[in-house]
Amino acid sequence: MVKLTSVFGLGLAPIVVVVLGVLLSGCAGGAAGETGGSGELVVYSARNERFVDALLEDFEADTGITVRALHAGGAAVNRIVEESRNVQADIFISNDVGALEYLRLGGYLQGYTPEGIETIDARYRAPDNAWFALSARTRVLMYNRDLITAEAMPKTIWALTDAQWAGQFAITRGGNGSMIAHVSALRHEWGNAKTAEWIAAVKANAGAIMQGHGDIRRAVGAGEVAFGLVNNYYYHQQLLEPTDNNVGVIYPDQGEGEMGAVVNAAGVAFVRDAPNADNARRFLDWILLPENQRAFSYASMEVPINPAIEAVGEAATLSDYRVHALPLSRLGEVYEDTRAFIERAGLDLELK
Amino acid sequence: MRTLDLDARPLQPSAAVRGQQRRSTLAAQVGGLWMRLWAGKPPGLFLALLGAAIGLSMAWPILYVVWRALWAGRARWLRLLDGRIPGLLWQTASITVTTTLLSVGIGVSLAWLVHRCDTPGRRVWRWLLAVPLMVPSYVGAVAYVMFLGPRGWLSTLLGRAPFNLYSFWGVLLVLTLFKFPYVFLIVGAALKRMNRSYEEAARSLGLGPWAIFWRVTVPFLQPAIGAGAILTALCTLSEFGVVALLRYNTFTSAIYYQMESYDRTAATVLSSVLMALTLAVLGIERLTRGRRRFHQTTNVTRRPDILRLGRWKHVALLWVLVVLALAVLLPLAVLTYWSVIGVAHGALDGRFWTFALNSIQVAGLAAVAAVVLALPVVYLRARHPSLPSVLIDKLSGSGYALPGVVVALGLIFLFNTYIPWLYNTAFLVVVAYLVRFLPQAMQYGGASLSQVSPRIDETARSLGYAPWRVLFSVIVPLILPGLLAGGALVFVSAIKELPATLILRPPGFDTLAVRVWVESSEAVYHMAAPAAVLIVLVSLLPLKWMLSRY
Amino acid sequence: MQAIELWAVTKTYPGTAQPAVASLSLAVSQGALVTLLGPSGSGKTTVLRLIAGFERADAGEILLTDRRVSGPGAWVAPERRGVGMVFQDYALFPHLTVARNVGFGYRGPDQAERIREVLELVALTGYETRYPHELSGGQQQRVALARALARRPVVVLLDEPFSNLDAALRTHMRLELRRILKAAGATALLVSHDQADALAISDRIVVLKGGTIQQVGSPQEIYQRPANRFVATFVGQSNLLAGVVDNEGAAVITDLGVFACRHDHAYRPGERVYACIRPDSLEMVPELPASDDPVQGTILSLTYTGQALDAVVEVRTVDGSQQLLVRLPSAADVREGQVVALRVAPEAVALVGGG
Repeated sequence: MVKLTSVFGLGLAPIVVVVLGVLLSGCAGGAAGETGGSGELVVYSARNERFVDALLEDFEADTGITVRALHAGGAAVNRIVEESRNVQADIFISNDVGALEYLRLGGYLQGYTPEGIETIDARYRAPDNAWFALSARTRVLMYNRDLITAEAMPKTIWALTDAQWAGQFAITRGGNGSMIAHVSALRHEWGNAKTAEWIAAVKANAGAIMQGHGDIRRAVGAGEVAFGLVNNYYYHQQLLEPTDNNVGVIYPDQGEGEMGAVVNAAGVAFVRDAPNADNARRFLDWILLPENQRAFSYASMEVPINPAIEAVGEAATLSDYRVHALPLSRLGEVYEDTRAFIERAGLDLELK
Repeated sequence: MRTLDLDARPLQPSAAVRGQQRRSTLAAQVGGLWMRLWAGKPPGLFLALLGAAIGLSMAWPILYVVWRALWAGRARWLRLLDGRIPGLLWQTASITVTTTLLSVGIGVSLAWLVHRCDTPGRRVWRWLLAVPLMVPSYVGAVAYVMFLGPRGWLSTLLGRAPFNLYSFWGVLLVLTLFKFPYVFLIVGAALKRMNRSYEEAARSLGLGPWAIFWRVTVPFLQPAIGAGAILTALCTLSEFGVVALLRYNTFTSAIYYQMESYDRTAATVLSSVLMALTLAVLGIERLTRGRRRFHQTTNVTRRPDILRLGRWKHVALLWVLVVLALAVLLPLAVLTYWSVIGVAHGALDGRFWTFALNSIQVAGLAAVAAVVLALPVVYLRARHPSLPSVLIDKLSGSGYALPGVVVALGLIFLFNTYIPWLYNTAFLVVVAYLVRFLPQAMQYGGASLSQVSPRIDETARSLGYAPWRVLFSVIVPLILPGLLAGGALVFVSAIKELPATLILRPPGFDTLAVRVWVESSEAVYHMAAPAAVLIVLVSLLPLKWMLSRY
Repeated sequence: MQAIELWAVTKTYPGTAQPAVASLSLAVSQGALVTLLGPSGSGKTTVLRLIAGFERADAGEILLTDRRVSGPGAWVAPERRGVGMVFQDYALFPHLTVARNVGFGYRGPDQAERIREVLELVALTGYETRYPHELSGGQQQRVALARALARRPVVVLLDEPFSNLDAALRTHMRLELRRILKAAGATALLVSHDQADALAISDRIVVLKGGTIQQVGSPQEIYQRPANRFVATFVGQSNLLAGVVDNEGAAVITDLGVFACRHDHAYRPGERVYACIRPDSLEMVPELPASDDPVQGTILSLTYTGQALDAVVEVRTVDGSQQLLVRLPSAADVREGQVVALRVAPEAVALVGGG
């Protein structure tokens, strides 16, 4: 006991005192997230937080509304579904139209017609505008120019199954939103059997299966793998890196009769029974202001859906390449099915 | 002859008095049952109910996970058993066994070298070698990614990564480097306790130092080695940060991804299997603990003598230094390097301090709550030993050794379904810390209480103090140092906790641990490092006192 | 009025078959100093804990100054019994000073005055600000006693009060304890396993074995007229000789001879009994007077204790031999192997039951 007392006296007593002080102040201020009502907006985001935080801070500055964001990655969709009887989120920012439409079909979103919605092509929003896309991204193969030339690169997605690429490329986990949409497109194009074959072969072939695309772009940039299956803006981001930036990009399946690159989009959705619905509507109106649409795309170097907003830097616009025919909104119908499909194929949790 | 009125005499009780006890009403029967239940020493009703409530609350999330798994459906179970579980079992078991074996090798050799040999500087090494245990393993993993990863220091220097850190071997390396001190500390303590007459007897029988080590010391240390190994295995089983950061799949990371992006019910199935594994290891622990008691010697007054290593001294020193370099020096150097860069780039901005404050807030709240909740539980256990109090103790301690992901899974289910108004608040994080770390507070509170004689309580009772007044005017002041030490340990553990925090944090509420995770997943090392260094600094606080415990 | 009354009190601890206290009935009058004497496991401490309320009796009633504190449908919590408790290890509150320990249970407006009073009673004036660990064992015991006495308890219970004291202090504290308790006018019930303590301090001794009362009486009664073989051997040392009461009931016929015994026994002529002869009731006789029919034996061993010389003497009987313990004056000139003649002091033979 004497020993404990002396140790306690040495360093822990002041800490406990400080802790108690902080706690009391914290509890009084409700910083633990119990402030309810008018002054805040809860945003669930599946995107990388770096692409979203600045935008949300702008919104706070413009409106005085406090934004509480949960950067939940792939967990966001699941959370919104699980919380449907105890809704937490007001706004969902997604990197996958499939997920957005899936939620809408499930009745987890609500319609609203924000000001400026007409700037978004009807193909890129829900019929009731419960979600709308703001920026497009395309599934591409990004490669390291030090390791491989454009000519040597595989030109199709199917080519990834070729044993000659064993260990040379990286993909993301099957739980990733972009990957789910991509697999949906492949199933649409190839049917289940061939897609399953593709997943099995790619899973075996891949040198690394990573948590997110950021990992892949850095891995490719650093030459850990020769190339990786990413969204096109990761290529543009890597170009801006001070080092490891000698990278190139292949838009796959561009040949005559080939399916074309798979396109997806990032957007925002209005959650049904949102606790701060008024603030959510303000956000939806606000995000459609041209400068905010622009910021939304530019943060990740994606291509704006609104043609009136010029694309960032040298990013190729949607009209520059062959695009896979599956309408984006169809992704929602097969979203759950594709997830189950991926799980059966064994790519759901895998990392390597 | 003393005066007659100062008398004591036997009494002849009437038949009525003798017969009284046979009259039995329902109330008397219930009372009798209650007495028997508590082995003749029933606590006050309030204390009993409070203890039961604490025990059930702590075990509820975990039991709920099992409950949900039972209703997961035959199809789901079969699908997982056929598909996912065998692979996960293999990956989890292989990393657990190898990490444990390697930790035993390193821990035992180092303990022997710094406690029983004339290795230069051994007094310093004794506590420095415990440091890696204080560093959260995922911080170690982050440091190793910064050093050995594809874009780490060494890889940049060599032009290519010397070996693939994102592999079984990488996980093994990091886990071993940061878990071996369990073995080191426990075996070291046993070596300190060891009676030297055994070794002297062996020497008198003509055995050399090497033979003595293998044939006397090692067998003697077996129980301690076993205990250290079990602890290492338990920690490896529940380890989340390292395996997830290094892209290895064990049950914990699988449960995390399963519940986050797929179906939570399947996650409960995986959790149940993991819990069964943990219970199996705990079962082994129970056995070794029984053996250890048997082996302990008592009343050792003579310190074991120190073996002269001669020219092997330098080899020994080199080995110590290599381990220290890999487990302490290198991670700290890498983290410091990136922290300096981070601070230069303004990493210590308002956001950073908000995260730090959040960490302190939830950890502090958990520590205070743990102290408050541990008190009735340990008091019941110590002063009313009986089946119910043992049960309450076990239930309250059920979070011990269970992975944070499982606790988080249970809590997220429970609160979303039954207590929606607290769902998605920092309160959940605090509850998760309590479930996981209340056993630490209980351990310290219980140890302090065991030093207070029950006669103290009884004296206070006979002096006119009702039980609750005894508790607050005598017991609490006496065991306060222990309670607060336990609370401080809970605080440090909570600051370090990653998986439950990651899953349960409400929107807009990141902690330092979460930031280390996010920033290092994004390879933004200069932002990850300052938070990691702060966590390490807080974690090192209880080092000195941890050492005195072992 | 009786300070303590136990009526057919029974207590069996969970998990044990034998009752620790079996249907025990006892009354202690006010102001008496009574010792429960018995070997460990005799239930003496349990009796104390039952009276204090730390254990609940399975059956029977306990009354403290006519208040029923335990019994069917009655239960008074320890804190409301007004019992003062002094434990073997004193159980002083280590975080409180002597004064605050003593005043712990006394909350009256005259607390300071009362503390001064009892500290004076236990001769510890001036120690008010000390902490328990700064006191000697004897001082700690006084503080514990003062603490128990401060609130003027209806009865003071002391558990093995002398067991933690060394021999010199022990003798002194026996007197001190008696003085303090008498000065305070307290009724006190002590527990002891040491017959010397019990004999020295008590008004009455209650000898316990196996949870039942063996004998209640004054120290002299217990020592001189043990009720049974157990009391005879447990309280002081005794030579027990099997025998038969003679026709007048005035003597006992044993293998070693016929000894005159006390007349105040309840045994019938011809009944099988034991003659109980204390070692100091045997004396060595130098000559062998023909008439007196002394006992003759050989000294097997000698133990010098300072005050006396304890000899084990082997005496031949018709069908074997018996060893007797004899307390000789310390100056006695004897040696091992010597044949000696022994005589029993008059009126020194007590009879105990043959059972």
